[in-house]
Amino acid sequence: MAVIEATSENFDELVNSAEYVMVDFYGDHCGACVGTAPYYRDVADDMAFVKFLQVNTSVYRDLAKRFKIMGIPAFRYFHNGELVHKSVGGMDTEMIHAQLSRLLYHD
Amino acid sequence: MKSRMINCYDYKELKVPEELGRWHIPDSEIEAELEALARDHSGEEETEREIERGDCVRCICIKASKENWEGRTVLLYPGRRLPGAEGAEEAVLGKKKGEEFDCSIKDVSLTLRIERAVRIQVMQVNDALAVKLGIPNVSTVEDYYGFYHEQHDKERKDKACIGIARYWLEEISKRSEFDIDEAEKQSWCYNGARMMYDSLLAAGYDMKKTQEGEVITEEEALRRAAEEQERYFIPYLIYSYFSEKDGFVLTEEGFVKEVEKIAAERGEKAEDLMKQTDITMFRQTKYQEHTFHLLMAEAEKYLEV
Repeated sequence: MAVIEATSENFDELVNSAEYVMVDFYGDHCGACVGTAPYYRDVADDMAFVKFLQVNTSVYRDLAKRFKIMGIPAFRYFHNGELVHKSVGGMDTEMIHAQLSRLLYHD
Repeated sequence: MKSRMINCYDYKELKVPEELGRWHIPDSEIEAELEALARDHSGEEETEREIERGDCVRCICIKASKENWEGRTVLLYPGRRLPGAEGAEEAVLGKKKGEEFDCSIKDVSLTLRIERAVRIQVMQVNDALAVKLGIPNVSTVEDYYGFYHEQHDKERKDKACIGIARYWLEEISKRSEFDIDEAEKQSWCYNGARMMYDSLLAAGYDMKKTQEGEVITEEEALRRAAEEQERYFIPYLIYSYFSEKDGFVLTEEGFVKEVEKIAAERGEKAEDLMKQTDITMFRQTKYQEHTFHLLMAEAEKYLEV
């Protein structure tokens, strides 16, 4: 499934609309964000049952502030609407899988 | 300002490297995007057959060696080798919807029942995909190529112009003559460091705590930050030179108006935004923008046809 672009208005609804949700906080002019994007997109297309969102922190500063996003790309992982894990930094497919493992199989 | 560029190198004497003038989007890029769009629009076909690598499996945990796993949805992606779930991904292979099986994930022993298994059905790149994209006036793959060029050609040209402008600025920086007042430079760098320090602190990041885990004094943090600012001083002189030569000068009044405009756009208070910047830093940004604007206009002549 395609990555869904979240806004301040629909963010909470999206995070609560699936059991497992991964969110990519990215920004304009961020090289690591651009580098990660194709891998994130591929993983989203490959893995059903998880919702993959992205938030443009250059536009939705309130969301960046709410989740204390200091460096981008930053990722937040939600299980049943609750934040269970976070990570920061560019990733390839293997690294995204490793972080998703911490969401899907958390204690 | 006492420091200034007194003799600007004539960058137009330079031969612009051919690769900097290239901007055309290759067909291969559009093909790759269509393939990615095909994956984005893939269908998920529920399967009642034996589970294979590449499938996505939704299970419910019936029994677990740790309490908070029971009743929980457990997702498995055979073949992807998610760390800790490799054994479970192997264990689910060959099973079918409704079956139960034992496995472990990390250090937890589980009995899982398969609720649902789906197989991703990737769309082909064809006119049906083009229609599915729902883009006005795009109903064929060929239409999509036209659409892609409409969307991206200008941005690629701009990017190429930025590349040429950067090339010129680098050469100007190396080959021009500057008259630098050291005390003014130090003050400028310190001012930039102080702004950065205060802004980051307001955002919750304390520069006194380094990335290596050291704790340093505020004075030391500012000293290090000021050192980092030094590399922006010559560029600032270059931006000032180009802007002033073009008659673009940012006054105090102009600065206040710009801050008010930005505050209105962001829905913030101008007074709050004022605390996060000052005219020197703002001028730096504006002069940089203006200089790039000027140089990019000149750079267009050097783009490939």
